[in-house]
Amino acid sequence: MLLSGLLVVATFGLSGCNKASDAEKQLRAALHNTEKLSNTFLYQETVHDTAGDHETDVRGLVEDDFRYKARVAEDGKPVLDEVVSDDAIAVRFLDPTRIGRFLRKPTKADRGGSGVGGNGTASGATPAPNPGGVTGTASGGPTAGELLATRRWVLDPAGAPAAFASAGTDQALGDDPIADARDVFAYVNQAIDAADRVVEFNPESLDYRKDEDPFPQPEPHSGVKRYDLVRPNLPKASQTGGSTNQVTPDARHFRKMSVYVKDKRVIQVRETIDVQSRLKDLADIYDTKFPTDRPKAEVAAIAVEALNAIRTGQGQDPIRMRDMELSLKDLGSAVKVDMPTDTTKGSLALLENRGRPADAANGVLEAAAVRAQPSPPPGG
Amino acid sequence: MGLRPRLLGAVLAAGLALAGCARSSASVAPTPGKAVQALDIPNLPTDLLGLHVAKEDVSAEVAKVPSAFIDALSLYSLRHNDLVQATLQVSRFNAGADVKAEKFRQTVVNQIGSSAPRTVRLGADTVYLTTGTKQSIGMWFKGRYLFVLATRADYDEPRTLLRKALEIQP
Repeated sequence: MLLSGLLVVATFGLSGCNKASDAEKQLRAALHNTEKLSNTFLYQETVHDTAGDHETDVRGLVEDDFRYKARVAEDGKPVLDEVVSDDAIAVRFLDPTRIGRFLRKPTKADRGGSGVGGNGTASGATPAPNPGGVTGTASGGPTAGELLATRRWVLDPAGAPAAFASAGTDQALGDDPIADARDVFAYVNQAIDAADRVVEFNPESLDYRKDEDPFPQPEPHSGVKRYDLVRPNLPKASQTGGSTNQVTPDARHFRKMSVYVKDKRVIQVRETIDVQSRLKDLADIYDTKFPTDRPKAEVAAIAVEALNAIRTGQGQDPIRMRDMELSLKDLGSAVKVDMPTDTTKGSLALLENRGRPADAANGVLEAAAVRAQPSPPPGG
Repeated sequence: MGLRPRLLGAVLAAGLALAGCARSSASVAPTPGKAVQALDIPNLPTDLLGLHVAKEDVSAEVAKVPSAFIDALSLYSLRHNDLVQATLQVSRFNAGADVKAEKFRQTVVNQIGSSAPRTVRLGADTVYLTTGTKQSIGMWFKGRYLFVLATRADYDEPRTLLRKALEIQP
């Protein structure tokens, strides 16, 4: 009896190892298959912080990696339209009062858009000569900032975004929602690298806990497979990770992510950075106490704020407590991106990661000028 | 001819990369650099996006490479008003190269440029993007051929040029 018990345990262990490895291969193959395909997409992100919840949606279509269009909405209200075709980019603000989030930041003045490899650099901090004025439109008329304030399209023939957010850039998650939406597959691949393992969803698995599963199960007979990323345990308080700094929890320690695959193609990605479910572990490991008289969501936001203070002090990216969902449709269909026709030419370097690299310094100046202007009333 | 070092840099970088591939595959006989032939591309346009296309003689530089995984190569300059805005190098792999294998392709592209290449899809083509010193570099495979397009970092239409270059058939 004892021997048969050991045999069962060993068999479970081995099958578990094999299944995780196969699941990861299948998931990476599905990501590889899908990223080559044209599609229409909807990216939804809700960020939770101490000020409440903030929702950003990006919907659009992708002809290929250099041709796509997208509309950004914040809290359900359309904000921005963007069309990219090779080197050209056209942008209009449907709600110009929300332009602030997209303006170029002074600390990134050395980075522009364009460039095939994506890291074109400006010639220096000195603004480049620009015949059209500080931001100038081609005709020397209104600046790009002035045009964008009136909801008109501005076309920059050489200002397409340089690179999507990824390791090696100084762009953080949330800085550019269109880049975030376009970069989800790279993000998922990084999440797989950071996960403890990948498993195919199995409600009968001994490891599965329905009460800890925030995502829907695949419909029976739908042909949809779900792959789950299993998050690693929180680091111990004594871990230093080879440096003098204490290892602080990362997004991977809180991440729940599931990828839905049909016909070997990804159709949906869901993620939640779930701090609430690990509050007790955090309290135990770091020998601290969280208030018990407040809602868990509020306590989680406070805990993340405290963790982020440490992380940013150590030069690490802050944890973004969010729910994210990417849905893909029309995979491989004949999608065509056309530039709008009612555009005015101008430099879009006032927007982060847009505009020619040589215009970046001018863009910083114009962004500062736009920030300094009093905001028009919403919808006005 | 002050542009010569720029052209040579691109050729030698690729030559060394290919030599590196040969070393990693002991079963394949590499081609000595002296045996690498000049490659002719029929129907190559004389003009790409307003840039004048001209073949450059790099035989002396190629001959210096001890061994390579290619048997033919050509380098073209793309100029506007005599200033080189881009170069296009076309190389043909020798018979031993497993060009269809993704691992082989990754080995090749990983050795070109100064940053890890990023894979993008343009139409039906897969292109590997990287950067060099003040250069943007795009690489793609067509059959047994490798194309490397290097553009100046301050060139305004690198993506449009890349898409046009993808139309070139070896």
